[in-house]
Amino acid sequence: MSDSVPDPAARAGLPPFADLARHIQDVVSVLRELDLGDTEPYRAEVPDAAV
Amino acid sequence: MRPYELTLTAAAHAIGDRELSPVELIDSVLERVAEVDSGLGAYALVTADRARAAAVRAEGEIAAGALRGPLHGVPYALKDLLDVAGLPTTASSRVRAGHRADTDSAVASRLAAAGGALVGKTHTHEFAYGLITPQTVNAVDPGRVAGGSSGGSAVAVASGTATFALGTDTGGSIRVSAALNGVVGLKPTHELVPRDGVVPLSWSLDHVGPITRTVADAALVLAALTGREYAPSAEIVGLRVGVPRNFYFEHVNPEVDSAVRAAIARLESLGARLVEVEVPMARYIQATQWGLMMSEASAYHERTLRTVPDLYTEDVRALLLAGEVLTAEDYLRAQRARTLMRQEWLRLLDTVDVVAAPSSALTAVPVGQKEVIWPDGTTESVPHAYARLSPPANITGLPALNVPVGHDSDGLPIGMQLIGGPYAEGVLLGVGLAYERL
Repeated sequence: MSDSVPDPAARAGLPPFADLARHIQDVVSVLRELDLGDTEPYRAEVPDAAV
Repeated sequence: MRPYELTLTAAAHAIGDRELSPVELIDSVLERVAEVDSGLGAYALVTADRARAAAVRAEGEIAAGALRGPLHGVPYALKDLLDVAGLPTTASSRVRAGHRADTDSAVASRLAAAGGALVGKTHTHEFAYGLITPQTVNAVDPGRVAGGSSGGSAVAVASGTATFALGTDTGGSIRVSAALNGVVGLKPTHELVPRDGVVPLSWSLDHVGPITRTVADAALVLAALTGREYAPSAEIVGLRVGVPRNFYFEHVNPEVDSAVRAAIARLESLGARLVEVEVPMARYIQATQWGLMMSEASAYHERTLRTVPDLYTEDVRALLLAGEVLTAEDYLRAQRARTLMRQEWLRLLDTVDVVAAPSSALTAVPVGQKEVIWPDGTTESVPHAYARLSPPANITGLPALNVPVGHDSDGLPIGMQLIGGPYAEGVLLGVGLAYERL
């Protein structure tokens, strides 16, 4: 049986975080449902544009 | 009333009228620090000598007729993510041991120019990555959490160990901390207050803002931070207040729900017009916030996470490591979703002037409580419950103000957040002022 590759936390002797990582991936993957079409990544306004 | 109990507005008037000297005020505040902070743990560092020197300088300038403005000689605290030349910026982390800032952050520089007296640096949840601030306890009940990540700043203001403070807000850290301790907290429009010299959690979501005892105080601090005039009007007849029918009142403690709805009804009694609104893209709020915040936080900490991982606290290290699983596509998808979400919120804010909602789903829980069980039987982690209602204002960059609106049956503070259009801080402050005067 081949060992699975340990995650970076395990390599550092730290508690595993795989469950948390999977949870984060699951939450963020919901965005795949969106039809983003030609939508560009957000660019923040600058204060000079304030009214 | 002792000087440390004064609001910023009252202290400024008393100093301006020569009824109170800045030295009397700082001495009162430092005595209060000595009296209560060993139990509360708001401060990471107290700069008593520096504060007294600033107060003495202010007293001399004011006596010579050179009053700089309402912050002159007034004691304040800075969250320990904000650089002050010559002082460490620890971010409440062992990772930052030995750090000393060479220059002031932009906001520290502006408060120094306004003549404020820095009492010290306040604790944050490590690197602002959490909503508990475990070094600090709640100002109202020391058996309860302070909230976070600006817990130290909120507790300092609530307990009288600073007349005002600055915090940061990436996913609710000003608003939740303020709500849990019964003080006012303002997350300004993104980019309104400069972030130079502030340790980031997430560059595109971070905001710096004031934590104060009153709404009027918040206006004074915001003016000093921005160089703009804020003279909010408490006249709200005809103002359109959006009341969300989804998202903000879901899985909220019943006493929080009641208090916030009662506060909204009081706004209506002052002449505001209530309009039921639908929060856009509610299903995608958490995913967008996490896709942005976790990617950016893990990127900032990439190097030290490899070189000194054991210096992070366990919860923050786990979040940073776990965030590394997100891809560039995940991050860009979140940024594109953010574009849509902001467009939708701007459309919503064409129909109302402000949206009113709970700042936090819970009041301050007992220290050590990990989960909350909702009436429908579902469980939620406490940090998640605290974070859940904040992200729309961070994702969209819209301003949001926490206003205290009462207490639960255990006497714990409840906060309402008011969210407005870009650069509508004056409107939010006006609504808050109107409520506060009731």
